[in-house]
Parts: sequence; structure tokens; C-alpha cells
Amino acid sequence: MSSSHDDVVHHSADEAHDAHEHHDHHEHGPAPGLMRWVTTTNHKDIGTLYLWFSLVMFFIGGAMALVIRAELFQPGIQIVDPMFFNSMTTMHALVMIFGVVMPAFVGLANWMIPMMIGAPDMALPRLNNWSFWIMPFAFAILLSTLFMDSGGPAGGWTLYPPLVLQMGDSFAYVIFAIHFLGISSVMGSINIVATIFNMRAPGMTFMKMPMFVWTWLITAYLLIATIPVLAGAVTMLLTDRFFGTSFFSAAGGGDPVMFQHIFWFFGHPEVYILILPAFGIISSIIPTFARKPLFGYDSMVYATASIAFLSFIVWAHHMFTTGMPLAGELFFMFSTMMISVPTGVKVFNWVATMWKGSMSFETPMLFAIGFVIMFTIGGLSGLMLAMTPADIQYHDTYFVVAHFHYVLVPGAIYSIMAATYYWLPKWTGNMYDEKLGKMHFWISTIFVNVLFFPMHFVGLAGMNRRIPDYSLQFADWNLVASIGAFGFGFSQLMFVWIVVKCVKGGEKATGEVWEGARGLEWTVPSPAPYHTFETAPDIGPASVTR
Amino acid sequence: MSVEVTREHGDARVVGESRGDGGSSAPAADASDRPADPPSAGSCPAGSCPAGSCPAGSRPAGSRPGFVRRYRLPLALGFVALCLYAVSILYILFGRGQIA
Repeated sequence: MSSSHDDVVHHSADEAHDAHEHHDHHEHGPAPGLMRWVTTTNHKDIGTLYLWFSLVMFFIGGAMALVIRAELFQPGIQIVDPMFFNSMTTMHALVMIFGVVMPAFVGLANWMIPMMIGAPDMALPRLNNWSFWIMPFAFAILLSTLFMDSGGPAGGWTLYPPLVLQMGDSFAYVIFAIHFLGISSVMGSINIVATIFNMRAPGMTFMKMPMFVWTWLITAYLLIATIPVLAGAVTMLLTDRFFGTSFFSAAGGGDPVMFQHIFWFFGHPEVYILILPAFGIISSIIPTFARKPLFGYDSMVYATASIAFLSFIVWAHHMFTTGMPLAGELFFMFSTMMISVPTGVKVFNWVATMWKGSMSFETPMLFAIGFVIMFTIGGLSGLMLAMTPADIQYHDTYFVVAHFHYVLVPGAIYSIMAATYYWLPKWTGNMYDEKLGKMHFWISTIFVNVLFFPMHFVGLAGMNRRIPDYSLQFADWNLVASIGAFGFGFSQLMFVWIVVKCVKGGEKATGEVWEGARGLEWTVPSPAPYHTFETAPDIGPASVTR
Repeated sequence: MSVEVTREHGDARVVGESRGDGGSSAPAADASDRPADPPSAGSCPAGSCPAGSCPAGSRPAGSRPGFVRRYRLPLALGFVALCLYAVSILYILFGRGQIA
């Protein structure tokens, strides 16, 4: 435990361990067998369920990506028919967004938020159980459409009408799945807000909360505000498709562009839902391995809130090519550019935190630094896309694909991997294999750039997205990207190996785990007991809790 | 302190107000207010202690706040979510003239 930490946090890991043993005589551990996982209301169990679910979906969504890249390895139709290719692009996105990144962040929130704020559990544990168990059923429904006669959804994850209304009857399953996923997300978000508001330990003021808790609080509000709007939009699609309404059908007096407005009113905040918790994770990891407090904590909080606010007023930058008044184009262009200001504050603060720090480069830090560099690349291409005249050229090209994959893969996914390596010793009580972890980072980083960087080139040259075939001039860079895809995909098997190896055993972790770690989660033993903070920690005015 | 923990399955229930400084009207209990070896906060089910004999952290029988009061924050957030869902449809129905 760091010396600065010793004098401020209520009790050491050893004391916590003693206290834990003291209560053992009436300790109820997890229920035995499979029912433990079905009926659990323990935040750690549910966090674990979310994380494993996310990992499984990561490989399902990744397999879909490899089908796409295999087809694009060469020009021409090689492996799958175009309809199935379109299903793969659609399902890959839905799985990765709703089945991987969001559940992984919710899993991390479940594990860490109660421990970070000194709470014994989430505020609404049964709701928590429901939030998780809805998801596997929702994804079973969604994935089952691939085996139906009319095939899976193939109109893109944005579900634009009128194209998506041409789908077969399996469309109803897709809509129901999205509704269930939305219900799960909203319930999870309500739980997180209620937990943060009601369950903080005495003395844990808002401005003492770790950044991960702050970013999740703001993300939860974004989810509550936007998911119902998506649900409303897809309900209207359902009635247009099956019940003869014309919300979005021009033939019946409806407006297809209206769907795009509603969808992106959800969709753009969704982008920040996928990245704000990542900001919180990186803000936890960098100070630990730089052995300095986070630079500009207050400005980080305000920047996060600013990003969340701005995310509601930029949605039409996704729709510049649909045609809108000049004033609208200017408004959405400048409001989008404004997001780079609070985002820049964050990047500056991370760099300033590292500046003159006693840095060490364990695997979580490597992933965190990789995040900062490559997320910034994605942010810069986003700034290019914000410019209306430029966007009209880039729209629906691989340049856009490169942009959002840089934000989501070496961005969101890297942050999840960084978080896993960072907190895995706390979860399992064992240290992971550092050498393998570093190898995983470097192999992933090489291949992820081989995969996505060439997409900038083919995109700027005019290659369309969501098309299974392409012109000959794009062949070379597509070949390179496909090699990168298979390299990146298979290198993730290393991640599974490292995690499983760590779960099974390894060098025992201390309570603090990392020398520079701060915060309540490091004051409990490793692995974290099944029940933590049943007696709330005492947090004084000088306590370092973040 | 207003959190009860029933140990079975680690189920923690919020039964009252904020433990932190989150703008709650209830004073946050200080750890020094607790018994040194809590028998206590969590060892008796919610509302099961006879009045006057409750250890710190438990409530006397019959004093448990109602469902709506206990869950007003999650209920309010859920209501907001349902309203947003309804408004997104009603706006198109009426605001955009789909029903005229």
C-alpha cells in the first residue's frame, strides 16, 4: 500500500481480512452449483456473469467480423452471398455494441462501483439479477434470426427504413430483442444511479468519487434518456412493418428521414455511452502506474458532464447527406466540433498525469497508453468527419469505418482489457502472467493498426462500406486489413488463456495489488470477499478515495 | 445508516436515505456511531426488531417506509424512461401530423 494511502483509508487490507474472518461464523457464501449464478443477487457474481457473457459475445461478434474480412480479402464474391454478408455487418455491430461493450462496462460497474464507494452491494440486487438474465434471452432471439428462412437483419445496425421494412418476418424477433436489451440497459442504469446516490459510504462526497464512478453515473443518465427513444423508434418500425401504419413510409405520408433523426438522437449519445466508462477506467489506471494523483480531477468531472450534454445536440452530423438547411448544417458542424474541447481536456489531463510521474509499464498501463494514443487518432478523424463539406465526401466510406473502429476497438475494447488486467488480481486473488499480458498487448496493437489504418486509405479513395465487393484499386489495402483482422482476432485467444490461467492460480496478489493504487477497492483483501463493506468504511476529509 | 444487508445471497436493500452527502435529508451515520462489534446492522431482517430494542442500522417493526417512498428514485427514473418512450411515439403521431 502506498504511504500516502496508508494514512487516509479507514483500515488496511489485513484488518479488513481479519474483520472478514471474524464474521465467518455467520457468513453465507455463494450458493453451490449452477443455481448460484441463476439466482444470485451478489454484485460480484452478477459482474462476473456480465463479463463472461461479454467475452463469449466478443468471440461471436469477432467471428462475424472475420466472415466480413474473409469475404473482403479479395475483390469479387468469394465466400458468402451478399445477403448473408449484409447480415454479418448488421449483426456484428449489434452484437459488439449491445452484447460486448455495454455488458462489459455494466459488468465492471457491478464489480467495482459498490467497492469504490464503500457500499455492500448494488441498491437493487434483484433488479440487477433481472437486468443480466434478460440479456442472454434477448441475444438468443436476435441470433436465432440467422437460422430463420428470412435471415437475420441485413439493413445495417441503424435499421433505416424503408430498406429495413423489406425484411422478412424475422424482423419482429429483432425488434423484440432490441426492446429486451433496452429494458435490461435501463434497469441496469436505474440501479447504478440509485446505488451511487443512496449507497455511498459516509464521507464519500461526490467530488471524492473515483472517476469511474462519475463516468458511469453520467453514462447511466445518458442510457435512461436515450434507450427509450430507440425503443420508441423501433416500436414504430414494428407497427409500420406488421400493422399497416406509416410512421416512416413515404407512401403512406410518413417520413423516413424522421427515423434517422430519432435513431441518431439515441445513436450519438450511445457513442458516448460506449466511451465514457472507458474514460473512467483510464482515469483510474494512469494515476496508479504514474504514481501521481489524477491531474485536474474537477475538470475531468466537468468535461465528462459537458460531453454528455453536447452528445444530445450533435445527432444530425450523421445525416449531413440527407439534406438540411444551411443553418442546421452549421449548427451541427460546430456543436460537433465543440465536443473536441472537453475531450481534449481529458487527453491533456491524462498526459499531464503521466508527466514527470514515476511510470511503470505493466499490462494495464500499456493498454491505457495505447487507448490514449489510438483513441486520439479516432478522435481526430472524427473531427474531420464533423466538417459538413468534408463529410459529404467521406459519408458511407471506409474512412468512417476506420474512424469509429479506432474509437471502439483500441478505444472501448482496449479500456475493457486494461480494466480486466488492472482488477483481475482483485477479483481472483492471483496475479496474471505479466509476460503473456505484455505479449498480448503488443501483438494486438500491431494487428489492430494493420487492420484499421488502411481503411483510412481505401475510404478516402472512395470505397463504400457495407458492400461485399469492391473495385480492383482497393485490393491491396483490403488484403492487408484482412490479414490484420485475422491476426487481431486470433491474438485475442491469448487474452482468454491469460484470464483462465489467472482464475485457476498464479502468484498470490496482495490486497493493494499495485504500488500506486488508490481507492477503497484496494483496501479489501484479494480476492475480494463475497461480501465487502457490510460495515461502511470511515472516510475522513483527508481520505484519498480516487 | 440506512442500508440493511440481509446476508443470504448478499442481498443488500436500501431502506432509507442516502449514506453519503447526496443531498439527502437524513443525516449520514458516522462509523463512530456504530457498536464496535455490530450484531446488528444487517443481522436482523428489515423491520423485525421490536421497537426500542433495535441495534443501530435496523428499524423498529412497523416503521418501514412504504414501497413508493423506499423506491422513489428508481421509480422516478423508470417513469422518466417510460415518458420518453411514449413521447417519442406521440410526437410523431401528433406533432408531425401522422394523426390529423
